[in-house]
Amino acid sequence: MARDPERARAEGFLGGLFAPQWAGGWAWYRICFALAALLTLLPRWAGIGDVYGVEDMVFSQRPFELADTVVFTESTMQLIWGGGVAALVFVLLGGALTKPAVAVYLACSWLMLANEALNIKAYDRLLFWMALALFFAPVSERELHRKWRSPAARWYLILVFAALYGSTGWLKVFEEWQGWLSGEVLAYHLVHQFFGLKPLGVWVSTQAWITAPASWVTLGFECLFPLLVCFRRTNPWVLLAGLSMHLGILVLMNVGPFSYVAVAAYPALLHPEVARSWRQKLADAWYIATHPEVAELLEEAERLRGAAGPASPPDRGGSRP
Amino acid sequence: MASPLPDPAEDREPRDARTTPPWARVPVLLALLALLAYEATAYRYALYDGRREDVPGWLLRNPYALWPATWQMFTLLDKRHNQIDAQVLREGEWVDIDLEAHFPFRWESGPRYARSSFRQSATRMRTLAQATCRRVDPRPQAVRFLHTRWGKTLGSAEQPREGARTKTILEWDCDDTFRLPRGERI
Repeated sequence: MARDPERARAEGFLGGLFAPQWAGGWAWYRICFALAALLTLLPRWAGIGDVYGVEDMVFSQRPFELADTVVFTESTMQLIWGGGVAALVFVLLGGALTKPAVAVYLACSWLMLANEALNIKAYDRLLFWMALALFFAPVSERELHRKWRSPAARWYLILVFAALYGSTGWLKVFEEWQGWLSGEVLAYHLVHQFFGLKPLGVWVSTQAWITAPASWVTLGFECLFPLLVCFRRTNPWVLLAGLSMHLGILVLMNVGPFSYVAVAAYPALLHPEVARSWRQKLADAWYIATHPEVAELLEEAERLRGAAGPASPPDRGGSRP
Repeated sequence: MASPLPDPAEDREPRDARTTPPWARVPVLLALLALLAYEATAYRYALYDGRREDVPGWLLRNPYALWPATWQMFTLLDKRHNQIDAQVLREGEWVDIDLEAHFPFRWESGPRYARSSFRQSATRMRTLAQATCRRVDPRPQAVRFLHTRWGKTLGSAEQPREGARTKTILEWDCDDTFRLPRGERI
Protein backbone atom coordinates (compact mmCIF):
# COMPACT_ATOMS: atom_id res chain seq x y z
CA MET A 1 0.00 0.00 0.00
CA ALA A 2 2.80 2.40 0.84
CA ARG A 3 4.87 3.24 -2.19
CA ASP A 4 8.07 3.33 -0.19
CA PRO A 5 7.87 0.74 2.59
CA GLU A 6 11.17 1.68 4.21
CA ARG A 7 10.21 5.30 4.46
CA ALA A 8 6.76 4.32 5.70
CA ARG A 9 8.30 2.20 8.45
CA ALA A 10 10.48 5.10 9.43
CA GLU A 11 7.40 7.29 9.75
CA GLY A 12 5.66 4.77 12.03
CA PHE A 13 2.10 3.47 11.99
CA LEU A 14 0.47 6.74 10.96
CA GLY A 15 3.10 7.30 8.27
CA GLY A 16 2.34 3.89 6.79
CA LEU A 17 -1.41 4.35 7.05
CA PHE A 18 -1.29 7.70 5.27
CA ALA A 19 1.45 6.89 2.75
CA PRO A 20 0.39 8.37 -0.62
CA GLN A 21 -1.33 6.01 -3.06
CA TRP A 22 -1.67 6.21 -6.82
CA ALA A 23 -4.67 8.48 -7.44
CA GLY A 24 -5.71 7.47 -10.98
CA GLY A 25 -8.62 5.37 -9.69
CA TRP A 26 -10.34 8.48 -8.36
CA ALA A 27 -10.74 9.91 -11.87
CA TRP A 28 -12.69 6.79 -12.87
CA TYR A 29 -14.61 6.82 -9.60
CA ARG A 30 -15.76 10.39 -10.26
CA ILE A 31 -16.97 9.52 -13.76
CA CYS A 32 -18.67 6.27 -12.72
CA PHE A 33 -20.30 7.97 -9.73
CA ALA A 34 -21.68 10.79 -11.90
CA LEU A 35 -23.07 8.33 -14.47
CA ALA A 36 -24.66 6.08 -11.82
CA ALA A 37 -26.18 9.09 -10.05
CA LEU A 38 -27.50 10.41 -13.37
CA LEU A 39 -29.09 7.05 -14.14
CA THR A 40 -30.78 7.28 -10.74
CA LEU A 41 -31.89 10.90 -10.98
CA LEU A 42 -32.98 11.17 -14.64
CA PRO A 43 -35.94 8.72 -14.42
CA ARG A 44 -37.30 10.66 -11.44
CA TRP A 45 -38.47 13.32 -13.85
CA ALA A 46 -41.41 11.02 -14.57
CA GLY A 47 -42.39 11.14 -10.90
CA ILE A 48 -42.75 14.92 -10.74
CA GLY A 49 -46.45 15.63 -10.41
CA ASP A 50 -47.24 12.19 -9.02
CA VAL A 51 -44.63 11.61 -6.32
CA TYR A 52 -42.65 14.85 -6.15
CA GLY A 53 -44.26 18.27 -6.02
CA VAL A 54 -47.80 16.99 -5.47
CA GLU A 55 -50.59 18.49 -3.42
CA ASP A 56 -52.40 15.41 -2.23
CA MET A 57 -49.68 12.93 -1.27
CA VAL A 58 -47.67 15.01 1.15
CA PHE A 59 -46.02 13.27 4.06
CA SER A 60 -44.16 14.44 7.08
CA GLN A 61 -42.76 11.59 9.05
CA ARG A 62 -39.53 11.05 10.82
CA PRO A 63 -36.82 11.46 9.78
CA PHE A 64 -38.23 13.66 6.99
CA GLU A 65 -40.42 16.44 8.38
CA LEU A 66 -39.65 18.97 5.66
CA ALA A 67 -43.32 19.24 4.65
CA ASP A 68 -44.13 20.85 8.01
CA THR A 69 -42.02 23.79 6.86
CA VAL A 70 -42.21 23.83 3.07
CA VAL A 71 -44.09 21.88 0.44
CA PHE A 72 -42.65 22.11 -3.06
CA THR A 73 -44.83 22.79 -6.06
CA GLU A 74 -44.38 20.91 -9.31
CA SER A 75 -42.41 23.73 -10.95
CA THR A 76 -40.08 24.11 -7.95
CA MET A 77 -39.48 20.40 -8.03
CA GLN A 78 -38.61 20.61 -11.73
CA LEU A 79 -36.02 23.26 -10.88
CA ILE A 80 -34.58 21.15 -8.09
CA TRP A 81 -34.40 18.12 -10.38
CA GLY A 82 -32.71 20.24 -13.06
CA GLY A 83 -30.22 21.56 -10.51
CA GLY A 84 -29.29 18.03 -9.53
CA VAL A 85 -28.81 16.93 -13.13
CA ALA A 86 -26.74 20.02 -13.98
CA ALA A 87 -24.56 19.46 -10.91
CA LEU A 88 -23.90 15.88 -12.00
CA VAL A 89 -22.84 17.09 -15.43
CA PHE A 90 -20.25 19.28 -13.70
CA VAL A 91 -19.10 16.30 -11.62
CA LEU A 92 -18.76 14.35 -14.85
CA LEU A 93 -16.64 17.10 -16.40
CA GLY A 94 -14.36 17.34 -13.36
CA GLY A 95 -12.12 20.25 -12.48
CA ALA A 96 -12.31 22.94 -9.84
CA LEU A 97 -16.13 22.91 -9.66
CA THR A 98 -16.39 19.20 -8.87
CA LYS A 99 -16.77 19.44 -5.11
CA PRO A 100 -19.22 22.37 -5.12
CA ALA A 101 -21.18 20.42 -7.74
CA VAL A 102 -21.27 17.35 -5.49
CA ALA A 103 -22.68 19.56 -2.71
CA VAL A 104 -25.38 20.92 -5.06
CA TYR A 105 -26.23 17.40 -6.25
CA LEU A 106 -26.57 16.18 -2.66
CA ALA A 107 -28.77 19.13 -1.73
CA CYS A 108 -31.05 18.66 -4.76
CA SER A 109 -31.35 14.90 -4.57
CA TRP A 110 -32.08 14.91 -0.84
CA LEU A 111 -34.59 17.73 -1.19
CA MET A 112 -36.43 15.44 -3.61
CA LEU A 113 -36.18 12.50 -1.23
CA ALA A 114 -37.22 14.62 1.76
CA ASN A 115 -40.14 15.92 -0.27
CA GLU A 116 -41.28 12.40 -1.03
CA ALA A 117 -40.56 11.33 2.58
CA LEU A 118 -41.11 7.70 1.64
CA ASN A 119 -39.30 4.74 0.20
CA ILE A 120 -35.73 6.05 0.42
CA LYS A 121 -33.88 3.35 -1.43
CA ALA A 122 -30.71 1.58 -0.38
CA TYR A 123 -28.96 3.01 -3.45
CA ASP A 124 -30.02 6.53 -2.42
CA ARG A 125 -28.26 6.04 0.89
CA LEU A 126 -25.30 4.41 -0.81
CA LEU A 127 -25.00 7.33 -3.23
CA PHE A 128 -24.95 9.66 -0.23
CA TRP A 129 -22.06 7.76 1.38
CA MET A 130 -20.25 7.61 -1.94
CA ALA A 131 -20.73 11.34 -2.53
CA LEU A 132 -19.10 12.07 0.82
CA ALA A 133 -15.98 10.27 -0.40
CA LEU A 134 -15.73 12.78 -3.24
CA PHE A 135 -15.23 15.61 -0.73
CA PHE A 136 -12.09 13.96 0.64
CA ALA A 137 -10.73 12.51 -2.59
CA PRO A 138 -8.50 14.43 -5.02
CA VAL A 139 -11.24 14.54 -7.66
CA SER A 140 -10.85 18.25 -8.48
CA GLU A 141 -7.38 17.66 -9.89
CA ARG A 142 -6.47 16.79 -13.46
CA GLU A 143 -3.86 14.23 -14.60
CA LEU A 144 -4.53 12.05 -11.57
CA HIS A 145 -2.83 9.11 -13.27
CA ARG A 146 0.46 10.95 -12.69
CA LYS A 147 -0.20 11.65 -9.01
CA TRP A 148 -0.10 10.00 -5.62
CA ARG A 149 -2.44 11.31 -2.94
CA SER A 150 -3.69 10.60 0.59
CA PRO A 151 -5.43 7.22 0.97
CA ALA A 152 -7.87 8.58 3.59
CA ALA A 153 -10.82 8.75 1.18
CA ARG A 154 -10.14 5.18 0.07
CA TRP A 155 -10.02 3.94 3.67
CA TYR A 156 -13.37 5.66 4.18
CA LEU A 157 -14.86 4.00 1.09
CA ILE A 158 -13.55 0.58 2.14
CA LEU A 159 -15.24 1.02 5.53
CA VAL A 160 -18.55 1.94 3.88
CA PHE A 161 -18.48 -1.04 1.51
CA ALA A 162 -17.18 -3.45 4.15
CA ALA A 163 -20.21 -2.47 6.23
CA LEU A 164 -22.56 -2.75 3.26
CA TYR A 165 -21.45 -6.18 2.09
CA GLY A 166 -20.28 -7.51 5.45
CA SER A 167 -23.48 -6.69 7.30
CA THR A 168 -25.77 -8.14 4.60
CA GLY A 169 -23.61 -11.28 4.44
CA TRP A 170 -23.33 -11.89 8.17
CA LEU A 171 -27.02 -11.14 8.75
CA LYS A 172 -27.79 -13.87 6.22
CA VAL A 173 -25.49 -16.26 8.08
CA PHE A 174 -26.86 -15.53 11.55
CA GLU A 175 -30.54 -15.03 10.75
CA GLU A 176 -31.34 -17.27 7.80
CA TRP A 177 -28.40 -19.59 7.19
CA GLN A 178 -30.44 -22.70 6.37
CA GLY A 179 -32.45 -20.94 3.70
CA TRP A 180 -29.31 -19.47 2.16
CA LEU A 181 -27.45 -22.76 2.32
CA SER A 182 -30.22 -24.52 0.38
CA GLY A 183 -30.71 -21.60 -2.04
CA GLU A 184 -34.39 -21.35 -1.01
CA VAL A 185 -34.21 -17.66 0.04
CA LEU A 186 -32.73 -16.65 -3.30
CA ALA A 187 -35.28 -18.77 -5.20
CA TYR A 188 -38.22 -17.00 -3.52
CA HIS A 189 -36.69 -13.56 -4.07
CA LEU A 190 -36.48 -14.35 -7.78
CA VAL A 191 -40.28 -14.60 -7.95
CA HIS A 192 -40.97 -11.48 -5.88
CA GLN A 193 -43.80 -9.68 -7.67
CA PHE A 194 -41.79 -6.45 -8.07
CA PHE A 195 -38.11 -7.25 -7.51
CA GLY A 196 -38.27 -10.53 -9.40
CA LEU A 197 -40.31 -12.27 -12.10
CA LYS A 198 -37.78 -11.70 -14.86
CA PRO A 199 -38.12 -14.61 -17.33
CA LEU A 200 -34.65 -16.02 -16.62
CA GLY A 201 -35.07 -15.51 -12.87
CA VAL A 202 -38.40 -17.38 -12.90
CA TRP A 203 -36.70 -20.33 -14.56
CA VAL A 204 -33.69 -20.22 -12.23
CA SER A 205 -36.00 -20.20 -9.17
CA THR A 206 -36.72 -23.91 -9.69
CA GLN A 207 -33.10 -24.86 -10.44
CA ALA A 208 -31.58 -25.68 -7.06
CA TRP A 209 -28.30 -26.60 -8.77
CA ILE A 210 -28.01 -22.91 -9.66
CA THR A 211 -29.63 -21.16 -6.68
CA ALA A 212 -27.67 -23.11 -4.05
CA PRO A 213 -24.15 -22.43 -5.44
CA ALA A 214 -25.14 -18.85 -6.30
CA SER A 215 -26.21 -18.39 -2.68
CA TRP A 216 -22.93 -19.82 -1.39
CA VAL A 217 -20.93 -17.51 -3.65
CA THR A 218 -23.02 -14.54 -2.47
CA LEU A 219 -22.48 -15.46 1.17
CA GLY A 220 -18.77 -16.04 0.67
CA PHE A 221 -18.30 -12.79 -1.17
CA GLU A 222 -20.32 -10.66 1.25
CA CYS A 223 -18.90 -12.16 4.43
CA LEU A 224 -15.27 -12.13 3.32
CA PHE A 225 -15.28 -8.80 1.47
CA PRO A 226 -14.25 -6.71 4.53
CA LEU A 227 -11.12 -8.84 4.88
CA LEU A 228 -10.17 -9.66 1.30
CA VAL A 229 -10.54 -6.14 -0.07
CA CYS A 230 -7.64 -5.01 2.12
CA PHE A 231 -4.94 -7.22 0.60
CA ARG A 232 -3.35 -6.51 -2.74
CA ARG A 233 -3.30 -10.17 -3.79
CA THR A 234 -7.00 -10.82 -3.03
CA ASN A 235 -8.36 -7.34 -3.77
CA PRO A 236 -8.94 -7.71 -7.55
CA TRP A 237 -10.44 -11.19 -7.13
CA VAL A 238 -12.96 -10.13 -4.50
CA LEU A 239 -13.98 -7.18 -6.68
CA LEU A 240 -14.34 -9.53 -9.65
CA ALA A 241 -16.65 -11.68 -7.51
CA GLY A 242 -18.62 -8.55 -6.60
CA LEU A 243 -18.88 -7.58 -10.24
CA SER A 244 -20.24 -11.05 -11.07
CA MET A 245 -22.75 -10.87 -8.22
CA HIS A 246 -24.04 -7.48 -9.31
CA LEU A 247 -24.20 -8.63 -12.92
CA GLY A 248 -26.25 -11.64 -11.77
CA ILE A 249 -28.60 -9.36 -9.84
CA LEU A 250 -28.93 -7.10 -12.88
CA VAL A 251 -29.86 -10.03 -15.13
CA LEU A 252 -32.14 -11.90 -12.71
CA MET A 253 -33.83 -9.18 -10.66
CA ASN A 254 -35.28 -5.67 -10.78
CA VAL A 255 -33.38 -3.69 -8.20
CA GLY A 256 -33.18 -0.47 -10.15
CA PRO A 257 -29.82 1.25 -10.28
CA PHE A 258 -28.44 -0.54 -7.21
CA SER A 259 -26.03 -2.72 -9.18
CA TYR A 260 -24.36 0.07 -11.10
CA VAL A 261 -24.33 2.42 -8.12
CA ALA A 262 -22.40 -0.18 -6.13
CA VAL A 263 -20.06 -1.07 -9.00
CA ALA A 264 -19.33 2.64 -9.60
CA ALA A 265 -17.18 2.59 -6.46
CA TYR A 266 -14.99 -0.26 -7.68
CA PRO A 267 -12.34 1.88 -9.44
CA ALA A 268 -11.50 3.47 -6.09
CA LEU A 269 -11.81 0.20 -4.18
CA LEU A 270 -9.40 -1.54 -6.54
CA HIS A 271 -5.91 -1.65 -5.05
CA PRO A 272 -4.13 1.45 -6.42
CA GLU A 273 -0.99 -0.40 -7.50
CA VAL A 274 -3.03 -3.08 -9.26
CA ALA A 275 -5.04 -0.35 -10.97
CA ARG A 276 -1.84 1.44 -11.98
CA SER A 277 -0.31 -1.69 -13.48
CA TRP A 278 -3.52 -2.44 -15.41
CA ARG A 279 -3.62 1.11 -16.68
CA GLN A 280 0.01 0.89 -17.74
CA LYS A 281 -0.64 -2.33 -19.66
CA LEU A 282 -3.63 -0.79 -21.42
CA ALA A 283 -1.63 2.35 -22.22
CA ASP A 284 1.20 0.19 -23.61
CA ALA A 285 -1.18 -1.80 -25.78
CA TRP A 286 -2.77 1.39 -27.08
CA TYR A 287 0.63 2.98 -27.76
CA ILE A 288 1.86 -0.04 -29.68
CA ALA A 289 -1.39 -0.29 -31.63
CA THR A 290 -1.21 3.34 -32.69
CA HIS A 291 2.57 3.39 -33.39
CA PRO A 292 3.43 0.63 -35.90
CA GLU A 293 7.13 1.58 -35.85
CA VAL A 294 7.27 0.75 -32.12
CA ALA A 295 5.66 -2.61 -32.76
CA GLU A 296 8.32 -3.31 -35.40
CA LEU A 297 11.12 -2.35 -33.01
CA LEU A 298 9.69 -4.60 -30.31
CA GLU A 299 9.45 -7.48 -32.80
CA GLU A 300 13.05 -6.87 -33.82
CA ALA A 301 14.17 -6.87 -30.19
CA GLU A 302 12.28 -10.11 -29.60
CA ARG A 303 13.91 -11.67 -32.69
CA LEU A 304 17.40 -10.64 -31.55
CA ARG A 305 16.73 -12.04 -28.10
CA GLY A 306 15.64 -15.33 -29.67
CA ALA A 307 18.77 -15.39 -31.88
CA ALA A 308 20.99 -14.93 -28.82
CA GLY A 309 19.80 -18.31 -27.57
CA PRO A 310 18.51 -19.64 -24.27
CA ALA A 311 21.65 -18.64 -22.34
CA SER A 312 20.92 -14.95 -22.81
CA PRO A 313 20.20 -13.00 -19.62
CA PRO A 314 16.51 -12.64 -18.72
CA ASP A 315 14.65 -9.52 -19.72
CA ARG A 316 14.46 -7.08 -16.83
CA GLY A 317 11.90 -4.94 -18.54
CA GLY A 318 14.43 -2.40 -19.69
CA SER A 319 13.85 -2.52 -23.42
CA ARG A 320 12.45 0.76 -24.63
CA PRO A 321 11.58 1.93 -28.07
CA MET B 1 6.45 -9.36 -17.83
CA ALA B 2 7.64 -5.85 -17.14
CA SER B 3 6.23 -3.12 -19.33
CA PRO B 4 8.39 -2.52 -22.45
CA LEU B 5 7.40 1.15 -22.51
CA PRO B 6 8.37 4.00 -20.24
CA ASP B 7 5.95 4.94 -17.51
CA PRO B 8 5.34 8.67 -17.94
CA ALA B 9 4.79 9.03 -14.23
CA GLU B 10 8.19 7.44 -13.50
CA ASP B 11 9.91 10.07 -15.62
CA ARG B 12 8.73 12.90 -13.43
CA GLU B 13 11.11 13.64 -10.61
CA PRO B 14 10.25 14.27 -7.91
CA ARG B 15 6.95 12.40 -8.00
CA ASP B 16 3.84 14.46 -7.47
CA ALA B 17 2.98 12.79 -4.17
CA ARG B 18 1.09 14.41 -1.32
CA THR B 19 -0.85 13.07 1.61
CA THR B 20 -2.74 14.07 4.74
CA PRO B 21 -0.53 16.48 6.73
CA PRO B 22 0.83 15.03 10.01
CA TRP B 23 -1.31 17.29 12.21
CA ALA B 24 -4.52 15.98 10.59
CA ARG B 25 -3.72 12.27 10.71
CA VAL B 26 -4.93 11.55 14.24
CA PRO B 27 -8.25 13.41 13.73
CA VAL B 28 -8.81 11.59 10.41
CA LEU B 29 -8.02 8.24 12.03
CA LEU B 30 -10.42 9.00 14.88
CA ALA B 31 -13.13 9.96 12.38
CA LEU B 32 -12.62 6.66 10.53
CA LEU B 33 -12.81 4.74 13.82
CA ALA B 34 -16.01 6.62 14.73
CA LEU B 35 -17.47 5.61 11.36
CA LEU B 36 -16.46 2.00 12.02
CA ALA B 37 -18.17 2.09 15.43
CA TYR B 38 -21.32 3.58 13.88
CA GLU B 39 -21.41 0.95 11.14
CA ALA B 40 -20.91 -1.84 13.69
CA THR B 41 -23.77 -0.52 15.84
CA ALA B 42 -26.00 -0.26 12.76
CA TYR B 43 -25.20 -3.89 11.93
CA ARG B 44 -26.01 -4.94 15.50
CA TYR B 45 -29.55 -3.55 15.26
CA ALA B 46 -30.14 -3.96 11.52
CA LEU B 47 -33.06 -6.36 11.97
CA TYR B 48 -34.50 -4.53 14.97
CA ASP B 49 -38.26 -4.47 14.57
CA GLY B 50 -39.24 -2.39 17.61
CA ARG B 51 -40.30 -5.45 19.56
CA ARG B 52 -36.99 -6.85 20.70
CA GLU B 53 -36.27 -6.58 24.37
CA ASP B 54 -32.57 -5.95 23.96
CA VAL B 55 -32.97 -2.66 22.10
CA PRO B 56 -31.43 0.24 24.03
CA GLY B 57 -33.56 3.18 25.07
CA TRP B 58 -31.73 5.70 22.88
CA LEU B 59 -32.59 3.66 19.79
CA LEU B 60 -36.24 3.41 20.79
CA ARG B 61 -36.32 7.19 21.19
CA ASN B 62 -34.47 7.75 17.90
CA PRO B 63 -35.45 4.87 15.62
CA TYR B 64 -33.81 6.46 12.57
CA ALA B 65 -30.44 7.05 14.23
CA LEU B 66 -28.88 4.02 12.54
CA TRP B 67 -30.97 3.99 9.38
CA PRO B 68 -28.36 5.57 7.06
CA ALA B 69 -26.01 2.62 7.60
CA THR B 70 -28.51 -0.20 8.00
CA TRP B 71 -28.22 -2.71 5.18
CA GLN B 72 -30.40 -5.81 5.32
CA MET B 73 -31.41 -6.25 1.70
CA PHE B 74 -33.03 -9.60 0.78
CA THR B 75 -31.78 -11.23 3.96
CA LEU B 76 -34.85 -13.09 5.16
CA LEU B 77 -36.96 -15.81 3.57
CA ASP B 78 -40.23 -14.40 2.26
CA LYS B 79 -42.64 -16.91 0.76
CA ARG B 80 -45.67 -14.67 0.35
CA HIS B 81 -46.83 -11.86 -1.91
CA ASN B 82 -48.55 -8.75 -0.59
CA GLN B 83 -50.79 -6.61 -2.73
CA ILE B 84 -52.86 -3.51 -2.08
CA ASP B 85 -56.00 -3.07 -4.16
CA ALA B 86 -58.64 -0.39 -3.98
CA GLN B 87 -62.39 -0.21 -4.44
CA VAL B 88 -64.62 2.84 -4.60
CA LEU B 89 -68.23 3.14 -3.53
CA ARG B 90 -70.59 4.32 -6.24
CA GLU B 91 -74.38 4.21 -5.92
CA GLY B 92 -74.12 1.81 -3.02
CA GLU B 93 -71.81 -0.64 -4.81
CA TRP B 94 -68.10 -1.32 -4.32
CA VAL B 95 -66.27 -1.17 -7.65
CA ASP B 96 -62.65 -2.19 -8.30
CA ILE B 97 -60.33 0.55 -9.52
CA ASP B 98 -56.84 0.35 -10.96
CA LEU B 99 -54.85 2.12 -8.26
CA GLU B 100 -51.71 2.26 -10.41
CA ALA B 101 -53.59 4.17 -13.10
CA HIS B 102 -54.19 6.94 -10.58
CA PHE B 103 -50.73 6.75 -8.95
CA PRO B 104 -48.62 5.78 -11.96
CA PHE B 105 -45.06 6.27 -10.73
CA ARG B 106 -43.53 3.09 -9.44
CA TRP B 107 -40.18 2.08 -8.09
CA GLU B 108 -38.55 -1.23 -8.76
CA SER B 109 -40.07 -2.20 -5.39
CA GLY B 110 -43.49 -1.51 -6.85
CA PRO B 111 -45.90 1.37 -6.31
CA ARG B 112 -44.96 3.55 -3.38
CA TYR B 113 -47.99 2.36 -1.36
CA ALA B 114 -47.03 -1.30 -1.79
CA ARG B 115 -44.42 -1.35 0.94
CA SER B 116 -45.35 -2.83 4.29
CA SER B 117 -44.16 0.31 6.11
CA PHE B 118 -46.75 2.28 4.11
CA ARG B 119 -49.52 -0.24 4.64
CA GLN B 120 -48.90 -0.39 8.37
CA SER B 121 -49.00 3.39 8.81
CA ALA B 122 -52.46 4.84 9.49
CA THR B 123 -51.28 8.32 8.52
CA ARG B 124 -49.99 7.18 5.15
CA MET B 125 -53.05 5.08 4.36
CA ARG B 126 -55.41 7.97 5.21
CA THR B 127 -53.35 10.27 3.00
CA LEU B 128 -53.61 7.72 0.19
CA ALA B 129 -57.37 7.40 0.75
CA GLN B 130 -57.91 11.15 0.61
CA ALA B 131 -55.75 11.43 -2.53
CA THR B 132 -57.65 8.55 -4.16
CA CYS B 133 -60.97 10.33 -3.51
CA ARG B 134 -59.45 13.42 -5.15
CA ARG B 135 -57.92 11.67 -8.17
CA VAL B 136 -60.74 9.29 -9.12
CA ASP B 137 -63.23 10.86 -11.51
CA PRO B 138 -66.15 11.10 -10.86
CA ARG B 139 -65.50 11.55 -7.19
CA PRO B 140 -66.67 8.46 -5.30
CA GLN B 141 -68.61 8.36 -2.05
CA ALA B 142 -66.00 6.25 -0.29
CA VAL B 143 -62.86 4.26 -0.90
CA ARG B 144 -61.51 1.14 0.71
CA PHE B 145 -58.20 -0.66 0.51
CA LEU B 146 -57.77 -4.40 0.49
CA HIS B 147 -54.64 -6.22 1.50
CA THR B 148 -54.23 -9.60 -0.18
CA ARG B 149 -51.62 -12.18 0.78
CA TRP B 150 -50.88 -15.36 -1.10
CA GLY B 151 -48.07 -17.82 -1.53
CA LYS B 152 -45.32 -17.39 -4.11
CA THR B 153 -45.07 -20.07 -6.78
CA LEU B 154 -41.55 -20.96 -7.87
CA GLY B 155 -41.01 -21.27 -11.61
CA SER B 156 -44.19 -19.42 -12.56
CA ALA B 157 -44.43 -15.98 -14.11
CA GLU B 158 -48.17 -15.85 -13.43
CA GLN B 159 -48.11 -16.22 -9.63
CA PRO B 160 -51.69 -17.55 -9.30
CA ARG B 161 -53.53 -16.28 -6.23
CA GLU B 162 -54.14 -19.72 -4.74
CA GLY B 163 -55.23 -19.67 -1.12
CA ALA B 164 -55.26 -15.86 -1.14
CA ARG B 165 -56.44 -14.13 2.01
CA THR B 166 -57.87 -10.66 1.69
CA LYS B 167 -58.77 -8.21 4.42
CA THR B 168 -59.90 -4.60 4.41
CA ILE B 169 -57.28 -2.38 5.96
CA LEU B 170 -59.03 0.97 5.62
CA GLU B 171 -62.45 2.23 4.62
CA TRP B 172 -62.61 5.97 4.06
CA ASP B 173 -65.57 8.28 3.54
CA CYS B 174 -64.62 10.80 0.88
CA ASP B 175 -66.46 13.54 2.78
CA ASP B 176 -64.03 13.11 5.65
CA THR B 177 -60.93 15.26 5.67
CA PHE B 178 -57.49 14.40 6.83
CA ARG B 179 -55.08 17.20 7.62
CA LEU B 180 -51.93 17.10 5.51
CA PRO B 181 -48.67 18.75 6.56
CA ARG B 182 -49.08 22.49 6.17
CA GLY B 183 -45.71 23.76 5.13
CA GLU B 184 -45.55 26.86 2.99
CA ARG B 185 -45.96 26.03 -0.69
CA ILE B 186 -43.09 27.35 -2.72
